[in-house]
Amino acid sequence: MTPEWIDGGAEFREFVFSAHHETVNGATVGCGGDGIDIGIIDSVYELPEALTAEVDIATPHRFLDTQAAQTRPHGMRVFQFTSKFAPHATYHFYQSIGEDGSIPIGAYEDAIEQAIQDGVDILNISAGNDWDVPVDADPYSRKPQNALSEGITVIAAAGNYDRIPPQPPVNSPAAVDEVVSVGGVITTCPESPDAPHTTPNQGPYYSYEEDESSDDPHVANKVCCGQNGCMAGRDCLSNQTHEPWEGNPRESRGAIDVLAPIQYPFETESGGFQFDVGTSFSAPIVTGVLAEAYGDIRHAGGEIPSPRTAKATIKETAMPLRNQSSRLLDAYSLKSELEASCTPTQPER
Amino acid sequence: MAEFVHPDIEDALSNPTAGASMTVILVLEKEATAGVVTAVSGMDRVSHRRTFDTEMVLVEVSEDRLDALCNLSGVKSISPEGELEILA
Repeated sequence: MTPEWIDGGAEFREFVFSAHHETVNGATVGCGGDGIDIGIIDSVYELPEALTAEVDIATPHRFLDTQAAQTRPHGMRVFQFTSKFAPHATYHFYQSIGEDGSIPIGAYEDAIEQAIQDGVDILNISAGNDWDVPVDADPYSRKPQNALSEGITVIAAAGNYDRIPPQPPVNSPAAVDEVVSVGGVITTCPESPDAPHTTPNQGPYYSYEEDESSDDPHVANKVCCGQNGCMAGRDCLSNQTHEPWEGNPRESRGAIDVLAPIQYPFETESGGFQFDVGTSFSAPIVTGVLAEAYGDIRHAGGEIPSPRTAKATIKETAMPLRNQSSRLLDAYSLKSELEASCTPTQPER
Repeated sequence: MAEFVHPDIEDALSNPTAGASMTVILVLEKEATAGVVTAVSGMDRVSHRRTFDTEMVLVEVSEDRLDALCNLSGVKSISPEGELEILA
């Protein structure tokens, strides 16, 4: 079930996306990533026109033996998150994820090489390997370093813990030193889902099927802040709580640099809703926010920062969470700080 | 012996399935690529698939020959192909 006012999947998704936007203190002004090239290594070669009609899409590349426009919906969902924040960026799709959800090593290496050749500014990798070995022994840690050396900011999902011990370490490539490692956060509301929520675009959001076992165990029955006033129109932001997602990996091998929301709502065959959940969806939020900031820097005549500077600034500007070592992405502060440090200052008159 | 052996490889080393093969990634020490490729190319029931510019080699190997691969000089780690997965 979902809040009563919701009629369809697109409406619910937009509401949740807007809540995510508010959760990370997203800016609502700027160029939307115009002039920035974003590479997405994922399952997409081509998306439906309805999704890309107003988006600049570069020539896609395929590194799998398939003719499928999408091998899975995963890449489309990653794109939807990123384009929420950077709708005017240029998107480069590198289809590398097969129907089974894995990336062959050859496709991975070739996709990153192509992204380097294409001169992307930011590369999103919503995939990981949880083998607990030093980074230099991990096969998925090496090629991203070539991209970093070329000045490409690499954003990667930190990893998922499915509650079956042992809790994995930060995955590779997120564990690579200069890669931005993104974990998950859930912003909860004390309201009950049983309370009526009939005012459009207000109230918390939640989603659970009658068969609760089909929902992600970390999200089932959570009532999440819709960021739009939930309690009879009263200001209730003080009631919201940002919680690191219980499915984050443990911080060994590498750190989780920043947190971002993890829920992607989709319609089920029974007409209900579920959340596709994971740090796969946190990473593209950071990618989109960064693209928006980079676009404004370029428009102001500045130079986008090095991957190391970008990562340091993301960490420095992130919001501390109560009683937590993890910090939540603060898009507004990140954008302000990067623009202040990367754009030329005007001489005083 | 490779310094780091993936648990799935360890399982196959302990209980190799007759006639079964697997595709593995060898992460190599610096400047070990040429020597490893030469060695792999001369091994029985081992097929060299690809060499990467990141000092790694992709190899198909019969499970009962995995021990020979693990004992090659210059191999830092050995793991199965396809371990990088989406996180949703």
